[in-house]
This record gives sequence, C-alpha cells and structure tokens, in this order.
Amino acid sequence: MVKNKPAYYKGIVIGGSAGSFSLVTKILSRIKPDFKYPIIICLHRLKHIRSGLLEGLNLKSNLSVVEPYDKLRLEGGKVYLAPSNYHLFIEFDSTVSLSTEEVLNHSRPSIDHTFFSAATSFREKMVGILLTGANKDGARGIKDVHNKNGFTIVQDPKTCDVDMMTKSALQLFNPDKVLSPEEIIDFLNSL
Amino acid sequence: MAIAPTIHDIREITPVLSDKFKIDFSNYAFSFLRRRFAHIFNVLNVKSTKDFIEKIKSGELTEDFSYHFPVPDTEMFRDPSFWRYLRLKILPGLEEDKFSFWFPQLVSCEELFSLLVILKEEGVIDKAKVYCNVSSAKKLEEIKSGITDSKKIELNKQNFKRLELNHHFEDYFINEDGKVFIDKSLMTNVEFLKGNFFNEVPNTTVSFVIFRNRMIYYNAKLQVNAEEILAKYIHKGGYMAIGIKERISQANQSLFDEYEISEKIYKV
Repeated sequence: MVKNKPAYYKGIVIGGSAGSFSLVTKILSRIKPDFKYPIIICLHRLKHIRSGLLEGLNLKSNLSVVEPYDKLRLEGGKVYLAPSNYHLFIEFDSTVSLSTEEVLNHSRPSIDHTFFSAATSFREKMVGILLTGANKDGARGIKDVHNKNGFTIVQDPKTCDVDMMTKSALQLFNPDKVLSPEEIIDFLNSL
Repeated sequence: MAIAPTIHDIREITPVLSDKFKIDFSNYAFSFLRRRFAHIFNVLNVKSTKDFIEKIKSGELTEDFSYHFPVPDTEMFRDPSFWRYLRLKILPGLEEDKFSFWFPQLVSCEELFSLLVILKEEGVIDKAKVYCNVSSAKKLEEIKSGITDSKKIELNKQNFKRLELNHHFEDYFINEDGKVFIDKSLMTNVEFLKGNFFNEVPNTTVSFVIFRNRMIYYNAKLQVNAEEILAKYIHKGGYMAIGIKERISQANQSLFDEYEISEKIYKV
C-alpha cells in the first residue's frame, strides 16, 4: 500500500544501538538547518554516564540537541535525545514523559518503548527510522509505527556496523524504505 | 491469557481507583496508566476490565494493586553524584537537631537503604529520623525485613564503588544463604507511615525530602498539587531532591529555590 504523505509530521523518531552514534552524528551534521519537525532520538547508552553523548552530538549538529526534561513540549527543528537510564515516551499532546520503569530488551532507554508511544500519539504523522544495532530492541516498535500507518525506514543491513537490529525488524514486516545512510539523509532533507 | 486495557477501559477504571484510594488517578500521565494497567493485568492475570473493577471495589485487589502499581526504584545509589553531594555538602551543614528526612512515596528499598548507608558513613545515623510513606503492606514487610533485590546486586555494588566511601559494601550489607540484607541496625530510626502522602504525612516538618523520579508519572496538575503538599512539610531552609530530569512546576517556582541544579536539589 502506498501511503499518502501527510501535510506535516508531528515527529521523526530515530532508534539505534551499537555503531549508531557516528551515524546519528553524520545525519545531524548534514540535516538542513531549517528542518521543521521535531526529531526524537533513542540510542542505547551506558546507564551511569550522564554526560558526553549530548555534547558530542551538539558539536556537529545543525540543529539544537537537548536531553528533555519530563513534560517538555516538542518543538519543530529541535532534536530530543532520550536521557541515560530513563525511558522516553511521547504523549498525545506532543509532550515528553520519562520513566524509570523496568528495562525492556535489556535497555533503558528502550527504543521499542519510544516507538510504541510515538506510534500511538502521532499515528500516520510520523517517520520512524531504525539504524544499526546489536539487539532486537526497536524491531517490534517500528513495526507498530508501520501498523499505525507511520512512515518507516530501516537502514540497509548491508550498511550497518551491526545488523541484528535492522534484520530483526525486516523479519517482522516490510518497511516503506530500506535505505543507506546517505539515502536516509537525503530523505530527511526532502521532507 | 491476560488482556491489555484499552483507552475506554482506562477511563472506566480510573474513577473507581480514585474513589478507593482517594487520589485522582486521572491525573497520572496517560501513557503511564496504559502501560501500568497492562502490567497489572498481566501480573494479576486479569481476565476482564469488569472483573478488575469489581475486585477493586470489593477490596479484594486493594493490596495487590498497591503493590504492583507504583514503579520500584531502579537501583541503590542511582546517580552516585547526588549521594556524594548529599554526603559531602548537605549533611555537614545540617543543624544538630535537624537530621530529619522524608520519603513521601517509598516503593522499594533502594532509595531508603542508600540514604541509611550515607548517614551511617557520615556518623550521623543515630541522630537522624527518617519517615517513609509505603502504600503496600506487603511491600512494607519486605522493606522492613532488610532484604535487597538480588537481581540488582551487581549494579548496586558498582554504584556503591562510585561513591568512594571509606567502608566496603559488605560492611553494610550481609549475605545470608545467597540473599543480601542491609544491616538492620541501620533501620532503628526509620518510621513508616501507611498510605500515600496525599492522605498521610509526618507529624512534624523535615529537613530533607527525597522524592526522586516520582512526579514523572503525574500530569502537570498532580505535580503542582504534590509540590504544594511537600513544601509545607519542609523546614524553612530545608531541601527537596527530585529526579535529575524533573523540574519544579512553573506554578510553584516561588516555593522552591534552585540550590544544586545539576543534582536537582531545591531549597525551601
């Protein structure tokens, strides 16, 4: 089924694990500075290290990257990074809610949790992107985005440092696109 | 097989819970309610929303709900820098007769045991008084027994190391047949309050409220309400700590001054 492009997107959600930091850095350094939608990023990260990742992303990003506080409202053109040791959820009113609930897929933040909540809140007005990673977290979540008519992109496993996450997703459903990193950047800049 | 509650189910359940527990459950974050009810339906093997509601009304599930609904602490000494700050910067500045602490919503042992270790390490545990609200009778007995969660033991030890204390983990925690217990003498000055802090509070004001990562499950309205209650029970010059990704609501900025913002410690 070909999906109709919505008039606007409520959010772009990106998930990734091992190897995805450099790729996310590359995406944010090449994204157009006037990109108009919120980008929510959930990366697997060490629980006890609060700083470093955010600063690293901000060094090269064309958009401002923040670790959101609980109840923060999403704004277009900003990047929201799931904080260490918290799950990140999206509410119906486009605010962020954080949680210290049990780990999911050995992860907190869990990519599945972020995708599930974004899929429920944004429905067809979102793009979900799953990048390279070393476990299955994110696969069920991006399938849920697909089931709720969001637009889904899975990084081409041939271009992944570790392809377990993307292959797990591709075993569950057929995303709208399977793209290389360069193609993902081009896609985002075309929105 | 247990069912997952729908939005309609949640709207049916929340007024019943509100009536039973005297807290407005519709003021919890919606996505949290959806996940937590699904969790409860799963662990209690709930067959239907109607059945769940009837059992809440009759009181049959009151204790089980109180036990499973709140989110347990993730680990002991979560955010070690917070505990270091408390030990090195806050405790030395407290007046002799003001070593009083309050956990308005204690869901599991980790935050309490972390505080007790820090108080013992600083040699002030004998003059300290610690109040804790615990909603579940079963959870209260677990906490009183001093047992820790064996699944978290390695993480707890790693965090403990990051505190750079003078004593070893084993000086505070005892391994008995594979189960790890806190030295129960540390719990002498802990007073447990039944129920939630919206209905049950200490009979005095305290110096330090520890309420980390609890209001993230509330909506903005309930957060404002909670902050107002808590502020009333802190001495002038006392402190409140919330989670590092929480903020005091806009409405209550005048009640709390930022004190150590990186650890989210506020002064009243």
